[in-house]
Amino acid sequence: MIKIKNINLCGIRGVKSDCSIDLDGKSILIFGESGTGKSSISDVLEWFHNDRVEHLLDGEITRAGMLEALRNVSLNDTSKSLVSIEFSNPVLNSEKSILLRKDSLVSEYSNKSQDFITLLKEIQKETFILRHEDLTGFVLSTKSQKLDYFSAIIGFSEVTRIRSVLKKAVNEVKKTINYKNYENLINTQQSHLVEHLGENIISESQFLKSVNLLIKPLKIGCEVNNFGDVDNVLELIKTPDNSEKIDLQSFYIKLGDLISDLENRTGEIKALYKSYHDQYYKILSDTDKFQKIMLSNLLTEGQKILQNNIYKEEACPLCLQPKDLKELLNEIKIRLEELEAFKKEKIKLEEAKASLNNKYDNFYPLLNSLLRDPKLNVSENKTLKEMTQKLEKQLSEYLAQLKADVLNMDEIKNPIELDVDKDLLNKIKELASEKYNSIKSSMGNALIVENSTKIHFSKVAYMEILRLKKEKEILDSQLSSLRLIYSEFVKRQQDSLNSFLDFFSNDINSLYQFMNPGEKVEGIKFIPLEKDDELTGITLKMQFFDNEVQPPHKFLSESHLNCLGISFFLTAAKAFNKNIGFLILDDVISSFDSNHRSRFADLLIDKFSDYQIVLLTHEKHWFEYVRNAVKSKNWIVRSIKWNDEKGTHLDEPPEKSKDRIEFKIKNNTEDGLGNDIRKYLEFLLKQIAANLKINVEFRFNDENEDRMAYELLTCLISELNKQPSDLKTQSVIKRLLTSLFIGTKDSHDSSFKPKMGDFKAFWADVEELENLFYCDSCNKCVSLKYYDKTSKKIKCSCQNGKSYDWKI
Amino acid sequence: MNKDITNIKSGKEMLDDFFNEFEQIPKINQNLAVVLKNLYKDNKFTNTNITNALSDLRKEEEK
Repeated sequence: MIKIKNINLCGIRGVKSDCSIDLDGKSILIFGESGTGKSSISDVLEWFHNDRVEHLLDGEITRAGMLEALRNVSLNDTSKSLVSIEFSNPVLNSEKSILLRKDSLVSEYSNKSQDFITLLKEIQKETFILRHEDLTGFVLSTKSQKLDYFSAIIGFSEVTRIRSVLKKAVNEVKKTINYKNYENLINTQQSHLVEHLGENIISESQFLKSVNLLIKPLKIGCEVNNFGDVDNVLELIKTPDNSEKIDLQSFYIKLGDLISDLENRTGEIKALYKSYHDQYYKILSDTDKFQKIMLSNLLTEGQKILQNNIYKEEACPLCLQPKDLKELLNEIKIRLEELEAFKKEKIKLEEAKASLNNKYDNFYPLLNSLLRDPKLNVSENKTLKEMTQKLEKQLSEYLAQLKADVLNMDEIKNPIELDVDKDLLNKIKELASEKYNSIKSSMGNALIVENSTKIHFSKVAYMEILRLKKEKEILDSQLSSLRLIYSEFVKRQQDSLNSFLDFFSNDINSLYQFMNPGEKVEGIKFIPLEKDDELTGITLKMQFFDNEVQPPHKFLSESHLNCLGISFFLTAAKAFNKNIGFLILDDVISSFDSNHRSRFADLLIDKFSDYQIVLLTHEKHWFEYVRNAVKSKNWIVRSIKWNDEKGTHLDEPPEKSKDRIEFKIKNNTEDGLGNDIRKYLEFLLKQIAANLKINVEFRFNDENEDRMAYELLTCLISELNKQPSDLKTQSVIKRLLTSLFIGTKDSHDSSFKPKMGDFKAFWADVEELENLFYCDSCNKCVSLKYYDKTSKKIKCSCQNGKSYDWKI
Repeated sequence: MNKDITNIKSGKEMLDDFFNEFEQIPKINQNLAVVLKNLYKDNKFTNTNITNALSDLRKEEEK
């Protein structure tokens, strides 16, 4: 996991001059009063990683405005504005600057390597920063937003797509079976079998038995045992003169069967057309909205271009107006979602159209083929042909309406204007039957002719039944398999999502319980919601005084909701961050009550010790609590200050200020030197007072740190006067009471301006004091911790260095 | 933390596992399963492709 080694800020947000934060992968607690600019650190880290600062981008602030807000306001055009970060993984090390180019602000990374770009893209997907204002963002988001959030994390959008494709596949096969109308088709063929064989046929043996009954009176000396035998018998008894007549009879049967089928379908055709018509006019009544669907291709392409970083200028690629690209991407997403609703209505229309077309696929090609058949184009069939053409015209009127373009505002016919004339159907059927019977009569009454015709047509009908049954059986098998597959898929998806949500719920629950022990809020759980067999959202439920309730904000206080928000953030970071090993928490406890504050600090220290925490706060009491809690936990504790010269800066640790004082003396720099020496003296005196348990006046915690050198020095002198050691005779201690004046005057407006000689004398006294109490070998202050009861001396830690007589 | 995040499947892992294992669902048409599996593997799992593939499969089985 990547941790931060060093952050260096210059001319950015509140920071004017260089501000370096050495972390070396350690956690840091930073206190800063309101207005000192502590959020400069979180803002700059967010900008470095995500190339944006969420709270600096809204409707009023563009990306250019964000860069302007990031760049320190006091800088001139040529001044540097940058952040430089070193990480435990050096691939990510880079400087990021804000530069003025062609009168506009731009930003750039110094690291241009592909590895850096790849890793940066990777970590941009990870969660690592939480601010007070974002605490309850997820908890209060809508059910569908929660679903979107989790779907994006676990890549469930593809799962949802595949589920939808499978569901459609099931429905397609189901529709195909319905449109075929197998039952009617088989019944029609059964009626032919009844006509020719005198009974319904349900098996091959029954069919062969019936055929043999027709063969027997012909006395041809054979019988049929299989379908092959039927063809042989027909070949044996065929009379060449009748072949043409049988063909013609077959034609009339086909036409008759088609009309029977159509009689069953007209009701469905009318119903399907009505659905199509109603949906068509629903869209037509609001075409303005639906015409925007045409924009969806453009928007989708634009979305792809922006998502793949193909276009990088901070402007709209179409109108070239300045625009933050992430904001633009978000707007495109919202517009595409709106268009999606219109698209769904358009899809309904397409489906209605497809349903009617599919219906026609089952009879219309055969009708046209019969119309083109030469047998219908003979003079004796003129009437039959005219009637069939009329029928085709009536049917084609429905199809013609499907060609209308709704977005072109084409009108289509009202369902009552269209019809399939039932009388016409009956007339065609009767005429075809008459023609069939007329041929039958013309073939004479010879038994051989009659029975061979019956065997021929019953075989055709029976074979058709077998074909239809097989076709249906295959479709049924596909439907059954697809249903099983879909059902297993849904189960797997639910198991997978539930397992993920359980994991997430359990972790949130455990973090929440840690911060709220013994309270009557338990069993926090994410629950997937479904509507019409589709996953529509995720809701958050919990046990509240033993009752299951939702949503949380209906029942929880602000402080408890914040706890839930923090639990969610920490769980998400722990679960999904694969690279980032640091967490930035900026003033997140502002609305917490005191119990939750201390619990939260304990949680971070106990459960997140593997993470590098950057904890920023302006709450002094909480800062003190955490500072105490992280003692010996290897945390860095610092304060943030603001002044005119440096802007936002970190308070320097005293041990570092010694180097700076010596550097200033060496380089003859008087600026701020007296103040630096005075502060170092205060630091030394506090250490000495603590080690020797010097009595000082009681003050509360937050004021205790503010003791001045004069007070500490006089208390030290008072204690030394009681002691047997010769320390009290050391003139430097009393001398410091006077030289302290140099440091005090230097840090306030005063007509007295100390010179370098004064500073050197003051510093020499401070060093002498340090040498009196600190050991050269172990660098530790003499202390009551190392008190030698035998010799009655205070000593340093190495025991062989400094020692002074001391009575307890 | 009571469960390891590594045990949680991503969407892609769930899909890969499903299409590797769904042929074992009892009573499913194996030819159809192969067709669906290949469409998924070839990144062609769309309704149009499935409709066409199922229609071809029916014609094949009707022969």
